[in-house]
Amino acid sequence: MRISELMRELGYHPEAHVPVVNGSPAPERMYLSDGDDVRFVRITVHHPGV
Amino acid sequence: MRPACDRCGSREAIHTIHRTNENLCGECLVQDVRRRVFSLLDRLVEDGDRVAVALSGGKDSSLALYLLAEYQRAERRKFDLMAITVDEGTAYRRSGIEAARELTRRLGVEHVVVGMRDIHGIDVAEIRAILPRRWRRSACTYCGVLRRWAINRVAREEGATKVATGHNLDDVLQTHLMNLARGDVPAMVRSGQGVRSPSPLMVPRIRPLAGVREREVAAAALYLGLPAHFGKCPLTTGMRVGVRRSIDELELAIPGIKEDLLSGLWDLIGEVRTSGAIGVELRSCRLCGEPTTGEICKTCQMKLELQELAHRPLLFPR
Repeated sequence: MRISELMRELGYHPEAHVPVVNGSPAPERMYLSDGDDVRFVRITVHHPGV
Repeated sequence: MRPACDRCGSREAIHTIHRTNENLCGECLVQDVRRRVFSLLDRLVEDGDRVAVALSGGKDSSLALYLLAEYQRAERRKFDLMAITVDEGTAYRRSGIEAARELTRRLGVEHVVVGMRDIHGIDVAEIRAILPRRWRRSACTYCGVLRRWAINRVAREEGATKVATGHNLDDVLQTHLMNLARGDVPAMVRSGQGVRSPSPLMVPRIRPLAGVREREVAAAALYLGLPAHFGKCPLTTGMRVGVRRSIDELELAIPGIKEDLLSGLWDLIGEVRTSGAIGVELRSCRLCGEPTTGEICKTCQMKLELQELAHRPLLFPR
C-alpha cells in the first residue's frame, strides 16, 4: 500500500500532514512494508467542514 | 521501500513536491529550499543590516533563522543576526520557547525573550479567561496584535533594521486572500516584502520563506533535526482556517495553483503600489506613541477593551 492511499483512507489531508516512516519524513508515493512505523505530523490546523 | 530521489538519483527520497510530482531526498529538498530563500534574501537583506528574527520556536521561524544563519555564514551580505521571542503566557508556548532557546544556542545567535505580561500587563492565558462567551474577537486576534506590537518595539530598541518572520507561502497566500475578501487593499499593499513604512518607528518586515510551502518547511525542518515545536496553536480560530482549507482543496484539484495565485497577487500588489493609488498618513498613537492612522492605535484600542474586561489597569509603555 502506498502512503498516499493510507492518507486518503485515514482522512489525512496531504497539504496538512507530513508522513514520517521509521523516524524520517517520507514521500507519499512510497510503498509501505510490513513492520513499518508510520506516523503523520500535523503541520497545521485543518478543521473539516469549516 | 523508499523510492530514489528524482534529482540526484542516488539517495532515498523523503518528500514529494506536489506541483512537480517529484520525489526528493533530504539533501536535494534542503538545497531547493535554500536556493529559493537565498535568492529572496539577496533582494531583501542589505550590507549593514541588523536582522531580528521573530522566533516562536515553531518549525517556520526556526527554519527561517537556520537559513538566515547559513546565509550570514555564506557572506553574500554582511549583517548582524538576532532573535526575539515573545512569551504569550500559554502552556502551548512553553515548548516553543525551549526549542527557540536550544536553536539559538546551537547557532550561536543572540536571543531576547520578552514576556507579553511584562510589556502589556496581560498575557494570552488571562485574555482567554476574561473574554465573555461569543465575544466579538477571539483570543487569537488579541494575541496576534499584541505580539506584533511587542516584536516591533523590542526590535527597534535592539537596533534592528529588519524583522524576519517565519511566514511561509501558504501563510502569505491566505493573508492576501483574506485581505482581498475584506476589500482591504491597503493592507495587501502594506504587507509586501521589506516595505518601508512612512514612519521610522516601524521596522520593515521580511518573509524569507514566502516562496516555500508549509509542507516543504515541515519536511526540511524534520530532515535537518531542528529543535522546533510542531503543530499550530490550539487557540487558532477564525476566517484563516476556512480560507486555508479551501485553498488546500483547490490545490488537490489543480496542483501548483498556490504558487500561481500568489504570483498573480504579487503582480497585482506591485501594480497598485507603483500607481501610488494607496497612500496612508500616519500619526502617533495618543497612548503609546507608535504609528497609527487614527488617534489611538489598534493595539491600544484592544488593550482598552481588555482593561475593561479585566477590571484593572494594563500597561501602555511609551
